[in-house]
Amino acid sequence: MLFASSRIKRIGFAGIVILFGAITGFVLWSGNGMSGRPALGPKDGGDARLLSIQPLPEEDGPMCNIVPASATSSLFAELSQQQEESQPAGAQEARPSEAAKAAAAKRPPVRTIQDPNPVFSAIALDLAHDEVVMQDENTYSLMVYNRMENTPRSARMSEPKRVIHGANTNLDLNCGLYVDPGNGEIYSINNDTLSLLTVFSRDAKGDVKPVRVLKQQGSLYGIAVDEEKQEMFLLTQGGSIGVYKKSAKDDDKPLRFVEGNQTRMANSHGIALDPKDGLMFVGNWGSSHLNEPPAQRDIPWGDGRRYGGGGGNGRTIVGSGKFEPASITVYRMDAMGDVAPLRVIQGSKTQLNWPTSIAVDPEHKELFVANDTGDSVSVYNLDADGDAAPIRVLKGPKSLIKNPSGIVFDAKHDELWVSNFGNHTSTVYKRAAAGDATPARTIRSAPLEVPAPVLSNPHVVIYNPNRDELLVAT
Amino acid sequence: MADGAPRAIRSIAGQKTGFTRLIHDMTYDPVRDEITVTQASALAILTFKGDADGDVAPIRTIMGPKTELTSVGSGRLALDPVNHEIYLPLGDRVLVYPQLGNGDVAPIRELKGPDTQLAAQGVTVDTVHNLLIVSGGNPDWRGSGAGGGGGEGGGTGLADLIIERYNNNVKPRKGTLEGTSMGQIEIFDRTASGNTKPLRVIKGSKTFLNYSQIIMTTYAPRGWIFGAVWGSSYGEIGESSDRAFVGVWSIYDNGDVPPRWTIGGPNGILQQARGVSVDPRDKTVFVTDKRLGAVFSFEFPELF
Repeated sequence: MLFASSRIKRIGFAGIVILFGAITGFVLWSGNGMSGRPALGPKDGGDARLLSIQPLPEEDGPMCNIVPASATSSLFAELSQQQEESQPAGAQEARPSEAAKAAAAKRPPVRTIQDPNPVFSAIALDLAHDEVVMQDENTYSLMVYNRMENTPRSARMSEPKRVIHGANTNLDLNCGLYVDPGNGEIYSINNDTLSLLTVFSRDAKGDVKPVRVLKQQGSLYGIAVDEEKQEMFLLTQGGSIGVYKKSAKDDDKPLRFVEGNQTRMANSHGIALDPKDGLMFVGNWGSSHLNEPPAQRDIPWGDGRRYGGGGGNGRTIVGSGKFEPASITVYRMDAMGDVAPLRVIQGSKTQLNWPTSIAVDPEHKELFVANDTGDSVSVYNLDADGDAAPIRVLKGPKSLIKNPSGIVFDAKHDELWVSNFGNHTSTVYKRAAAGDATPARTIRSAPLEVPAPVLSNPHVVIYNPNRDELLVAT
Repeated sequence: MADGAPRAIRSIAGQKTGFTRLIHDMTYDPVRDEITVTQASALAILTFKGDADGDVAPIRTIMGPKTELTSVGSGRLALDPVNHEIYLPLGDRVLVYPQLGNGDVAPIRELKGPDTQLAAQGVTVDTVHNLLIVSGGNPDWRGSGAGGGGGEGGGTGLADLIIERYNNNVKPRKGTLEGTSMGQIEIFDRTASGNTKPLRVIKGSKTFLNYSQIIMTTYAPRGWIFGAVWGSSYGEIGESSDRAFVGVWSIYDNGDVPPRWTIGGPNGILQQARGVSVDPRDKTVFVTDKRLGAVFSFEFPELF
């Protein structure tokens, strides 16, 4: 995402203009030079007299160097060359003193753009204890609230019951959550630099180490667990599903992989399971490239070949990138290897727009998709295929859905939870809510009127002089 | 200038843009008023109108077999708005594309070969002095400790690891400095191609280049190179530390020389400096910090 931020300097610029105008006016219109001496000029009708001259120095040649039409270089390049030859900037400049350098290094910024408030990237429920866990990707925290928390309108925010935060936690840009329904352990996946799955005890709080971690190769963006088989499904953005024992840790290898060109996973975000029908659903933003078959490894593959190492595809096929519309791809939960999806939900009628998180209601046979840049939740029949329109869409200003990045379905209470990256809220709806529906409950981490810069993981910044704005890629 | 936690005045995002979650660099052409980014999933270079807003498609897309792209590497790129060229640092080579190219476009130049000493991860250009400036791994650095090979004088060079990473998606291993720097900044003639030696190389323990991923920009009228240095080695928790800073070198610097100035650290406010840009008119340096989730504005009249 790129966003532009304005420079508020109209007042300052106008101030400078006025000041300059005042000086000019003083010099031009007062009749006095800056020294206060009276200007030279005829007085009382007398003739002007030559008082003194100082001739200009003699110079050879024309006043200006004329660039002929046949010149092979531009005036800009010539001027640049002359500047370099006459003033090799940097090389001739004296290095600052160590004291000056040290002082400059500590110079504070004059302005800071930063969101001080938690921003919820993912959400999970602990129904055994009637709690909800939120992932805060802005301050690298996990926050636990009562499930029935509903921030009063007059309150600035809701205080969490417990917060897990600090350097020992290994929490960074975490984006997915799961809570063990039995013991309440919290599983949190890291999307970026740390490439870790971290697991915390249910009652963890403060700056605590996870009870275990599982190391990964790629950027994770989805977690789902089959409690019956005690298997954990981890999705990478690069388009692979690693299936592990639920208790996997450290360098444990997956039980199996689903990855490859036939899977049609493409910049994948979000995974959900339908254990009743033995299916798994993956959200895809649509861009991808092709890879050669991976080298021989030690992990059993669907077609009998053995592969090992940390997974991943083979070498990238040069220039094989492509853009497809967003999609939901469906596989069997026990799929292995480079397998084609059983179904693909894709097309203009689907209204999919950066599908970032998925949830399943096996009883009502419904599929919920959080569309990040669609600012919507679209609901499909669980057996939807092809260019299928949603059966319901939650969207609109009253719904408070804004850059939804996490979604979870509570079958026990027939409720749908959405974490909104764009406005410091998580919102709860009845399962069948549609249109611009007001949430049944809202948990806020900041006042409603406080804007969210959506400044997560800011990477590159560019100053745009044409519009006096900052472009920031996040 | 925006301060605090304002809402963005516009946002380019959505299905039509073709973006992934990994925008690791972008450029802006003030003459053509265009924004250009790399796209890692689709192995593409996307260009947008400078006033783009919302869910909009790029106006040009470079992608296809002729591009020779099997990766966009670190995702960094540079744009020369004078000569209309785009530069991609890709480990052991730098590929150059025509800025106005669209579709399946071959690179117009390649800088590659053992004499280049490239383990390229970042790039910028100085259009006044006609220079190509490349940051990346220092081939003299040898990792030690867990996973990094070991022993005195042994270990795997970071450059090798970076190149291996682009080829096989292997993450560089943890290592420690051994009297030199993990990173380096190389200065080439802008039109250098083939197996060409750099004009100058900034590397060594005095440079503070303790990381290989250095996003850069220049202020060409005074020959300054600004480099955002993370400040930590791979493997450290969160890969952030108060050793992060933005260093300022001269295009004439060579060898084991410290930065002329440092901004925001070391031991300052920065934790994970990622991006840097300048506004010469207001004598301001802008820095993004990934760990802090912030954009800082530093006033530095000394540099402009």
